[in-house]
Amino acid sequence: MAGGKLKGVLPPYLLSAPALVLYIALLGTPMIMTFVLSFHAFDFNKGILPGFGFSNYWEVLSDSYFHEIFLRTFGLALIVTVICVVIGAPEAYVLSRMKNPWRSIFLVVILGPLLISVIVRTLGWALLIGSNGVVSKTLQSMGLIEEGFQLMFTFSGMVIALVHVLVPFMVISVWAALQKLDPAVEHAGMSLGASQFTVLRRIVFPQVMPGILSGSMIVFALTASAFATPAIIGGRRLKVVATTAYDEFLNTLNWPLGATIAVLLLIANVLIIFSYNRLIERKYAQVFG
Amino acid sequence: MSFLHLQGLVKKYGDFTAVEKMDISVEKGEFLSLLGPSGCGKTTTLQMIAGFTVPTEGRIIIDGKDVTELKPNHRGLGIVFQSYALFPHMTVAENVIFGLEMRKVPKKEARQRVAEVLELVHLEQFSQRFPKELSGGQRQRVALARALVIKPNVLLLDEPLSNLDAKLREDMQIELREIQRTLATTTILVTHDQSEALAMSDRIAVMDKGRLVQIDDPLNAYEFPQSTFVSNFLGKTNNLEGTLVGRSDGRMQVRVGDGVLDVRDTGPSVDGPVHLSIRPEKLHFADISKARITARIQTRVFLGNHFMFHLDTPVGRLLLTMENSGDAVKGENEEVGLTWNPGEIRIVQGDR
Ligand SMILES: Nc1ncnc2c1ncn2[C@@H]1O[C@H](COP(=O)(O)OP(=O)(O)OP(=O)(O)O)[C@@H](O)[C@H]1O
Ligand SMILES: [Mg+2]
Repeated sequence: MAGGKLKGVLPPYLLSAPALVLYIALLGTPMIMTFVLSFHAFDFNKGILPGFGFSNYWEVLSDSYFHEIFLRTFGLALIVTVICVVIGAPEAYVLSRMKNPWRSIFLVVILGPLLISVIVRTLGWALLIGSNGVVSKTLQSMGLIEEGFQLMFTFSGMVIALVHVLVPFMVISVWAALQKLDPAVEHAGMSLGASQFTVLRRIVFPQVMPGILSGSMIVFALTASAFATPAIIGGRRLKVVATTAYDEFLNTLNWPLGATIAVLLLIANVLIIFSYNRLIERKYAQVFG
Repeated sequence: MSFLHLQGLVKKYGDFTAVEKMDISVEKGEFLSLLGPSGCGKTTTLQMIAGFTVPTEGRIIIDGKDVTELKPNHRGLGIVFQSYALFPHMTVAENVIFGLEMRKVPKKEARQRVAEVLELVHLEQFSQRFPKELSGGQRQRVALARALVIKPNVLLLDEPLSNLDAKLREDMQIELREIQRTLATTTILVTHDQSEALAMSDRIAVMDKGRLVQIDDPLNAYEFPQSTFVSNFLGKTNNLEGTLVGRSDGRMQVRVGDGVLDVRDTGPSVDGPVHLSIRPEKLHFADISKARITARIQTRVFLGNHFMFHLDTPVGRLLLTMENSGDAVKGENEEVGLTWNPGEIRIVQGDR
């Protein structure tokens, strides 16, 4: 049939065109504009100056103030990721071993927080760990901490709140890996003389490793670019990259510098995730494909 | 003294009895098949022997030792699972050596044993592959090698061949049987495939609804089924139901439909209907004048090496199979005579 070939090729593009246009307009354009903006100069009196230069990048990359913020951000991401693995992976395993209806109930309990806005959850934490919060008051009355101690505006506070926000992603991703596990494989391990613990360590764990790795990728990326939780818990005192960019945009009004920070965060994030992904793929392609 | 004893083994799930009062003794080196339809409790029995399911009642004794309470990792059994359950993240060699590592066998000896067992299952050149890079039959052999390398005192096989295509299955049956003979490992095979059980086993234990109904060597089980269930399950058969009309000189006359059959009296006390069974290959065509009964051929099915006939007879519908020997073959709707050796009609127990 004449034109049949064209017919086969065109419709998919035509059908996805509206979504594509929307995507480019709403996501692509601001990104490109931010990228372009990051090369402009800025003067406190004259505002944004058109032109092209790397001065903003130089400023960020050479200033130890920004170094600290970047280090803090990725340190935070690393710690949150590790804790999410330590909590989320066993949680998913226990969950997979539960019988219904408990399994469904606990799955909802674990995933439920995702239905609540991050802001609300973080404010909840702020109430808990602030100087007049329940946690602080309890610990004080037990004489464990001094008056006025609080987790608000501390690194630990940020870690706690972010872990709470992000652990469901780890659970989901490990859970998905566990679903693919043949239960007979554990029996096989035991029949060969392995103890329950050895089966976990040598048979179950390596098989859910891809789930753990992809989960940590998600958690890491989300932490590194997290805004709401660090903004509320960390505040001005403990800035991360995202809140710094925000401040440059809205407080200092130095948009080009804000854009530069945002672009650098994106690049760093993409680089880390990409190389991590490459590492995983190289290691597991042969086994799981 | 036999090697493996199941004594009054019972498994209940709530008030559902999956396995009822199993008593089986298996000799050392014997190959026993557990045969039965789906859901009759074969896997449950095997899982109890393996230790993955706790029996509600009864004892399991292996080599004189009561293992009923023993954890699966201390029973030293080799198990091949229906899904193979290979460790997907380990190579063939790593899969096979796992059991030896658990037993703390010295590295050098372990590698030697892995090489030997892989040679036994013809997988020498695949030792560095991952399970997903193997065919179904190769995976099956890895599973077997992994179970055999630990030199188990009992080998348990749960429908290990059911995922293979017919041709490969036949090859593997022969191979598995040979390996089992070579190593003389006491083996229990679970299957719902009667031809597999007949081909491979020293003895067959036929199960129905959680109960052991007959345990016999393959030939006896096939030739002398004790019940209509066994005769139906092991191969094809003609089941007839009739009433006793005479009994003398070691013979019984049984009225079935409009005919009377002469049967060798094997001595069961009869009250109520008599159940008879005769295999389709034991029926033969004959001249009508010399025949025991006449019949009309309803359908004829050609099956390559043999023909199958559905016959209308005074005693009801009968199935007859005849070798494809190249002789002239009767056609549909033909009037034929039938004969048989009366000793081939078995008296069996009806279904409860
Ligand atoms: N955990 C369980 N809870 C309740 N009933 C069960 C359980 N496991 C098995 N059963 C029941 O016990 C009976 C026997 O199951 P089993 O798996 O032993 O059958 P099988 O003979 O192996 O069948 P198949 O040939 O289909 O594998 C079945 O009716 C099954 O529904
Ligand atoms: Mg089964």
